[in-house]
Amino acid sequence: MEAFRVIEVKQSIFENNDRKADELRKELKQKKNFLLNLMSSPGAGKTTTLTKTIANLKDEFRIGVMEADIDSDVDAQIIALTGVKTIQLHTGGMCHLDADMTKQGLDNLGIDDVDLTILENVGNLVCPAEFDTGASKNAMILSVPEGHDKPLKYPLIFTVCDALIINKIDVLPYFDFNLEKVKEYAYMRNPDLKIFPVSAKTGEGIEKWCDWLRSQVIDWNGFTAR
Amino acid sequence: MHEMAIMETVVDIVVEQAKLADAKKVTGVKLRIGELRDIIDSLMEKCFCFMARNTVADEARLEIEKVPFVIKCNQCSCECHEHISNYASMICKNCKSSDIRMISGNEFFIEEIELI
Repeated sequence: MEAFRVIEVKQSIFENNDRKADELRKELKQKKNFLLNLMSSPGAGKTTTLTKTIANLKDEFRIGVMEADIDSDVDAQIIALTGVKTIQLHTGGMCHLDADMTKQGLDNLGIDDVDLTILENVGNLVCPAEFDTGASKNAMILSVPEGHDKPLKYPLIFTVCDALIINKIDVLPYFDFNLEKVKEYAYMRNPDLKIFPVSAKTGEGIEKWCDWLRSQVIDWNGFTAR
Repeated sequence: MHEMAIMETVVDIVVEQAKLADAKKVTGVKLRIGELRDIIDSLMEKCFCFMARNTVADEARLEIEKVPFVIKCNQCSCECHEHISNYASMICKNCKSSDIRMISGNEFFIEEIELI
């Protein structure tokens, strides 16, 4: 009879991705490019929030956008109208982006003439949270119609994000969405989270969100806005 | 949904380790996964079977050991154990401080591999 052997491996399954993400972060720091990984469920308003953010910051930073979707280029077309550099990434059914795919996207976008790159991740609150993309900071959008219980239902994404945008506050009167409850639940998951209630449609709150993003870009790139 | 992508990495590592150990066959793989990870065990097993086909790990048994979510408070030294379904909280239940450190719950490891 053949003998069984047991070898202790103790190797992290994310080790490879985490290493590539760290390498990418180092490269971005060196090239003075801030990468924001923006996550949310489908329909939370990533693209609309992004167009408002771009309008607010495009005179100060050279901006690039990577739109990740399973198919189509509808988002990239909308972003391209703002005049910033845009590419559409097709994940071909994949539910998230990893560090490798992000790096490929950045190489295709070309970041030598960009100060701030925004990655609009695939609309999903589960899978993107598991994979470090190599971004400088992670942010997520939760919209009012989704309900204030989401930090309880999808814990991981709230723990990996630095900022939480609560979008569509213009429709608060029509939903049983409790702004104080969502803050309480989100802080429970992540006491350091920065929370920004906004309406991408009316522009309410966008300035405060952009102030935070601006300070992060300046910190990372080590320069003052133009 | 991302179980397949994770399993691809698991099988890659297992195949590489088996090669290094000069093994004929992998008969078992043990994973250690923290409760904070959004993973469906039964789906992990199906993905493992699928990804391991035609490799040295074909038909190997997959074992998943769950690691509980535990935080320790830096202020009052209280250790909080709270299962994910009871809302894993990053705030100390005893003194309500957010100055905590996570002891476990985020693991995602290949613990050991059984080979012939």
